[in-house]
Amino acid sequence: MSRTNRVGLVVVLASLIAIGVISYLVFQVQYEQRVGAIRTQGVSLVRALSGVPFEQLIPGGKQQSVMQVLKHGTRDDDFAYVSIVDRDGLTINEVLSSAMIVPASNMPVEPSAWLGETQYRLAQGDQEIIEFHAPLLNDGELQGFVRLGYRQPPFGLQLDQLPFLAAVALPVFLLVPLFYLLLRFEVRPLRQAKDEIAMMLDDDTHRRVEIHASGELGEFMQRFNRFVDQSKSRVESLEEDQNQLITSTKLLTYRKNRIESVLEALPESILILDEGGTITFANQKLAAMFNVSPNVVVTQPKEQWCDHPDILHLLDKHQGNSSGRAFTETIRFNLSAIVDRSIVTKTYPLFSLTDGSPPVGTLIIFRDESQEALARQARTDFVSHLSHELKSPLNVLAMYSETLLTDAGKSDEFRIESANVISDEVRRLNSLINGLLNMTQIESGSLAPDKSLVKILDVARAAFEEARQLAVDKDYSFEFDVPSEMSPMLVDKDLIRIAITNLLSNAVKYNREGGTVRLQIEETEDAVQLRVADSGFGVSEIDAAKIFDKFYRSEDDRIRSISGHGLGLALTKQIVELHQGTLSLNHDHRDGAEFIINLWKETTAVKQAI
Amino acid sequence: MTDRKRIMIVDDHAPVIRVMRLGLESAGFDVCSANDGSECLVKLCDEQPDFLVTDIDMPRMSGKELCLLISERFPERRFPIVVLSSRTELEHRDWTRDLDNLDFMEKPVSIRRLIMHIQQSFSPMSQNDG
Repeated sequence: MSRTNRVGLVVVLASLIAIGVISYLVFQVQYEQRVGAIRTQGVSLVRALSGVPFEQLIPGGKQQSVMQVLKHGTRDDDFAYVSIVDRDGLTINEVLSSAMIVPASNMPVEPSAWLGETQYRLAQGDQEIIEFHAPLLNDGELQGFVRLGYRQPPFGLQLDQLPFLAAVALPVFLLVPLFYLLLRFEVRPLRQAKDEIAMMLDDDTHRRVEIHASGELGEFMQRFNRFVDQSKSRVESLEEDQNQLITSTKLLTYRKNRIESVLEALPESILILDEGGTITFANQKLAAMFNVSPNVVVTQPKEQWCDHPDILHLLDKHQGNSSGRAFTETIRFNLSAIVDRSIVTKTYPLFSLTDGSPPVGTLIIFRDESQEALARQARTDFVSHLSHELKSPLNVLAMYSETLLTDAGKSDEFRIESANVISDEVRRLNSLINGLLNMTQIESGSLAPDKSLVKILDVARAAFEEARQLAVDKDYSFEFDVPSEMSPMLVDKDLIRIAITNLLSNAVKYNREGGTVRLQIEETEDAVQLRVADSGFGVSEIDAAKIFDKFYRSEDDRIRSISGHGLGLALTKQIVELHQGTLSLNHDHRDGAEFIINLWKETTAVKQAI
Repeated sequence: MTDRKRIMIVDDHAPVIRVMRLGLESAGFDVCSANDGSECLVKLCDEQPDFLVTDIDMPRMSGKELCLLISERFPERRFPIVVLSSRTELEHRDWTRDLDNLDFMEKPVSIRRLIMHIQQSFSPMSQNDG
C-alpha cells in the first residue's frame, strides 16, 4: 500500500471517527434532553394527579374519564402507564400503553418518600421504566398512590434522526477529504523538492530544484537553490583545489624522487640538514660509510651512528645555528675509527632559488678520497720504483764506463768484467723497458692482442727450451709434462710466449740448487691450463698478497739478492687477462712455487661472455 | 800508522762495490764493504770507517734505516755519509732533517765526483767548518 493510500485511509478513518464522535455527542444531548423532558412532564403530571380527589381516580363515573383522558391525552410514545394503587400497592385503577405491564412495587411508608422517582427494568423486552409516584390524600390521610411510568428513551440513532445525522456527517465527510486535498496541494512543492533533492543526491550531479511555489515556500526554495548553487561552486572550487593539490603532490614527489635519485647516484656521501641543523636526508653511501641504514641517520641522534669527534663537531656547529650564518669549509680527516679511509668534508649553505632569504639548510658532502690517496701513493711509488730500476743499471754503466777511461780501469781483468757487467745491465734495462712498454700498452688499451690459431704446445716448448738454455750452467732438472697433441687456440702468440717465458724465468731464478723446473699443460673440453712450478724458496703469505703488483719485490733476502725489477708477474697477469684468462698462485703447492695460467677456449669464452 | 782514510761502501749490487772499490783505492783510500745496512752495522765497530757511501734501496735494511740507526747508536761518531739515490728531491730526503753529516748524490754517480766529494770532506777547511 502506497503512502498516499495510507494517508487517504487515515483521512477516511479520521472523518468517520469525527462523524461518530459528533453523532455520539448529539445523541447524548438528545437523550439527556428527552430524559429531562420526561422528568419534567412526569413530575408535573404526577403532582397534578396527586391533587385530583381520590374518588375521581378510582373506577366508575367520572373517574374513568380522567384516566381515559390521561390515556388518550398522553400521546407521548414514551408514556408507559398510569396506575392508582392503595397504600399497600394494590392496583385500584390503571391505564397502560400497549404491551405494557405495571411492575410490582412496594410503596414507600415514610411520608418523605411518598413523592419520588423510581427506575425499573422490565423483564420482558429489556425495557427500563422511569416511574414517578405521588401520594393520594383524602383529608390529609393517605389513600393510595398514583404511579406514572415512562419508558426510558433509547440512546442512539433513531430512524427519525437519520436526516439530522446525514446533515451532520455529510459536511464532515466532505470537509475532511477537502482539507486533505488542500493540504496535499500545499505540500506538493515540498514533495517535489524532496523527490528532486533525492534524485540530485542519487545522480550526484548538480541541478536546481525547479519548484514553482509562492509565498514562504517559494522563498525557501529560492534560498535553497542559491544554497545549492553556492555549494556546487564551493564543491567545484574544492575539487579544483584538490586536483591542484594532487598534481602538486605528485610533482613534488616526482621532484623529490628525482633529486634523491641524483643524490643517490652521486659518488659522494651526502647529508642534508635543515635550517635548524636537523638531518633531513642521508644517502645510501653515507649510511654505508657509517655502517647503518639511512633511516637511522635521519631519525636517530647522531651519537648513535657516529662516534667520530670531527664529524660530531661538524654537525654540532650546524645544529642550533639559528643566525642563518652559512659557511663553506673543508675538513680532512681519517675515518680510522670506522674504516681506514681518508674522508674530505665540504659544507655548503643551501639557499632558496626564489628569494634572498637566509639559508634554508646545509649540504654536507663526504668525499672518500681513499682511492685517490692510494692512487697518488701508487703513482709516487711507481715513479720511485721506475727511477730506481732505470737509474740503477745506468749508475752501473756510468761507473764502469768512467772507470774504463781511467788508469785504474786499464787492466784486462777489469775490461772483461766491465764487458760482462755492461752486457748484463743492458739486458736488464732492455727487459725492463720492454716490460714497461708492454704493460703501458696493455693498461692504456692501445695493445690489442693479435690473435690467431696458435699451437700452444709449440709456443710452450720454445719457451721451455729457452729457459733450459738460460740455466745451462745450473744443476736444475727440467720437466716438460704436456699432452702429445693439442688443438690450436686463438691467442696472441708473442704475448703468450712472453707470459710463459716470464713464469719459467722466475722458476729458474728463484730455484734452489739442484731444484726442478716443471712445465705442465692440461687440456680440457673448455680450457687449457699451464702450470709452471719450481722447487725454490716458495711464496710467503705476505708476498702472495702483493706478488702480482707492479715493482713488488719480496723482503726475503734470498729473493732480494736475485736481480729483478718486479714487473714480470704483473705483466704476465695482464697478458693472461687480456686473453680473458686467469693467472693464479697455487697456495696448496708445497716445496716451491707454482703459478697457473688458465686460458678459456674461444667458444667457452664467448659462452661466458653471453 | 798510515793516514789513509777508510771508506765503507754499502750496496747490494756486487759490480757497484767492485767498481767503486777500484776507483776509491786508486785515489788512495782504504775500502771496506757491506751488502746491505744490517751487514754494515755489524762491521762498523771493526772497520771504523771515516766515510760511508751507501745505496738507498737494499734488502733487509735500507740506506735510510742504516743512517738513522748509525745516528742513534753511534752519536759520538759523526763521520760523513753520502747516500746514492735515484731520487734526491726534498720530499725524498725529509728524513735527513736532523742528520747534518749526510749528503745525497743522485744516480748515475760519477766516481770522480764522488772521490772529489770525499776528499773535500777530509780537507782541513771542511773539517774546520764542521
